[in-house]
Amino acid sequence: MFANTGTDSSPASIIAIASPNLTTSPTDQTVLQGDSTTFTSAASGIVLQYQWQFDGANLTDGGNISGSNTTTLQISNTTPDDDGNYTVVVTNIAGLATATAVLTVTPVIPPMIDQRPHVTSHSYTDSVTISVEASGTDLTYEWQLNGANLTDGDGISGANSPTLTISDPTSSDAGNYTVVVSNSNGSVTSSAAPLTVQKTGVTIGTPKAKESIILTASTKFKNSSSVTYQWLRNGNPVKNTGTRIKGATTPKLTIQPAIQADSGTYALRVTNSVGITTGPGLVIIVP
Amino acid sequence: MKTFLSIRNCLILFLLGVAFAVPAARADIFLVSLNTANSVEEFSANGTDLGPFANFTTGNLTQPQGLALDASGNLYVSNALGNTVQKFTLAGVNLGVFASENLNNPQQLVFDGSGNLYVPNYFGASVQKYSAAGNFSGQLKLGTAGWSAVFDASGNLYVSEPSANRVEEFSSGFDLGPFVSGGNLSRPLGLIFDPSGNLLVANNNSNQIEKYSPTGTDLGNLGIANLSQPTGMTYDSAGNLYVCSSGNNQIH
Repeated sequence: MFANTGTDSSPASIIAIASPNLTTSPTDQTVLQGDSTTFTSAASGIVLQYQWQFDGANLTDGGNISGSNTTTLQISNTTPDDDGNYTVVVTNIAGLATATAVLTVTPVIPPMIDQRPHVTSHSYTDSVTISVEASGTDLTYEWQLNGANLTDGDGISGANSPTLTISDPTSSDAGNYTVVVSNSNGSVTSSAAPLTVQKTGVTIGTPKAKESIILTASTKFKNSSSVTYQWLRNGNPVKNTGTRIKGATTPKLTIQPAIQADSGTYALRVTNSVGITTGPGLVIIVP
Repeated sequence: MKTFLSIRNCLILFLLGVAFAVPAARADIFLVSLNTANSVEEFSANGTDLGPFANFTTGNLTQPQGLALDASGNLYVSNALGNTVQKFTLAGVNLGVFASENLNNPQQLVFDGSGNLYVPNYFGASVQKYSAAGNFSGQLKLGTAGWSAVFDASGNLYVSEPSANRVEEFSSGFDLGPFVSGGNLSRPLGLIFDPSGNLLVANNNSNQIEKYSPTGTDLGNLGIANLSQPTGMTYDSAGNLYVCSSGNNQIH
């Protein structure tokens, strides 16, 4: 016997109502902070009610929570505070079924400039690089010149990378370079790195005598303490050789006595913290 | 077609008690109509009486007989004395009279796959049909009083006629004649199909449940002890059979 129904009750009909049966249980989720996520469940049974819980407490719709009384719970714009256990409780008149899954929200560290942009020059080349060092999660970069976004092409590369490269800079490339570093948790704009481009401004003197070559640069540069000089002959650096060739890395090059092999096109490359400039070539023929 | 089958399976599961999937961890509760107590009583999975789901006061129940659930989970109760079918939510809210037209001592209830409710009349020798909205939509004529009606997996309807010791079979509204008649039938009341498609018949006078193959062959009785005037039957979600034993006020 299963049950007594009471004196003179005459049971006539019976139906069974089963408690809910979860056919789909929510699965653990890991999302980046700021992303949205869903927990999905499904159950069989009759007249089912759904209630989602967070760490054991009933959830209600509002804020970043929706679907708290449906099969699917949605959590938008997640934060680390949303980390925890999510339980679906399915009930009907006969009982309940539950299942729990874990949400892990990976924090997005906001971007931070660790080292402000600085111009890195390579001697004897015509390209300029400007680099920034930043930290944070999933960073994106946007280089700007005087506040306007740069795009790759036409001598520019790396416009969306930590290092911007400007090939063969011209006067139009001069200005203040900044970089905007962003992720889903914010953005930060760097301080400006000024770039001065001087293609002209170096003059080279005329040889004083046939027996010697003395070339003098008259240009003055800002931050003269950081200026370096290199004389070039036919595009190649001139090297000091004992007492005959002196000042190859100074504004004044002295070659004395000159020999026929010294013939060529002379130029002076000047480099400082914001750029490189090369003076016009001067053809010298030593008979 | 898929939807139809799904609804049909659901109805079979809940109305005929045929268990398909039987997850062991699930618990069931039971609703039992108590004819002379004017109540529908709720029992726990272990047989504890949880009190009335509805009664004369809360549900206008007068000699409640049949119970059925629709696909939305509403409960229907036939009032044999009141000649009505009452409708309730499973939360216990009385939604009032669902049907009353042409009812004359209504007995057990069953839904078809389209949501139509079939109600055998004990007086009037017929089975009444109502739409999901509760509108009377026709009847099946019986030779004698009707008590229980069930559908098989093919959608054929079987109706017990206790005074004729007969179970009549209908297909799409056409009378196919007796499925079984005479033999060991002894005032047949409750009908249910087992998971294998055999028809179980509650013999009210011989106090046993007789089993018939899908072709109508008598496979003997189930040998359940202490049954007294058995009436309605159901299966739980684990596939166990429950039988109302009206003569000794028990559920087996």
